[in-house]
Amino acid sequence: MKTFFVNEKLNYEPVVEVLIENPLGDHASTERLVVDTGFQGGVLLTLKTYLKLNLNLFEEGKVLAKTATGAPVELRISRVKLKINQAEILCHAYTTLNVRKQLLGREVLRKLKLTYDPPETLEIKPKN
Amino acid sequence: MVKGKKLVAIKNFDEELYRLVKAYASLEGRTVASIFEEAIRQWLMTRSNYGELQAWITLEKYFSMGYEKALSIVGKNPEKFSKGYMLICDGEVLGVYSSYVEAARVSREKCMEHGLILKLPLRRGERAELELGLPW
Repeated sequence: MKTFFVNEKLNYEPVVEVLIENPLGDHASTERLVVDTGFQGGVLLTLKTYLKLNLNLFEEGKVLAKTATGAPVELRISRVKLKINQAEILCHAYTTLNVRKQLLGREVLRKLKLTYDPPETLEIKPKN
Repeated sequence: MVKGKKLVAIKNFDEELYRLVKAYASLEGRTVASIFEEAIRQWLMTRSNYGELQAWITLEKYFSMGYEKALSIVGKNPEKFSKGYMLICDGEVLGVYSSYVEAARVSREKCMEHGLILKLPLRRGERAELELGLPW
């Protein structure tokens, strides 16, 4: 897995290079995904990548997604396998029309134990 | 009406342009509709996401066809379809399988354009919601 930050103008976008396979493992593609903690799902792919992986043959239905501004977007869902270093993660892949950036969301971050895990009690001690 | 054709009325269409189209249609021995279809097909080819849109429309067609059929079959006998994974292949219900992977294997073999694997039981109108984050 390659992880890197790109483009100073974009305040260094966090990018991960991941090998994505369809649920049967017979089609695979290495894709660059932008880590997006605002995205609840696994990976958001362009329709082109989705079709390249033959995910149209393994769909599980649709979900209604809401953007941060409240705009509703209908997403198609399938399952995928992500290969990140030695780890193989099963997660959901989503797509819709006009996806400009492929995203890696919280479903994957959680499985990788990369989500923010605050302590049960947060104690702030005043300075003496 | 010919199958696959539809009556379309267009408001506020340029009168002069329509007259020209009619004249060319008459000269070339064609219908006005065939000229509009040709022009629209050419315009569509200039759109950057034309291929993507076509693929999306195909997926949508099979999805809605298949989903409605699945709901109707399950609705008639809900007890029979209470567990497993129902495979809908190119808009037709193919069968129920014990696991997603088993259904996926059959889908790879049998489906041409679209495979939908629905976890049973199936409920009408049930749809999950998801946070997408920023509109990219």
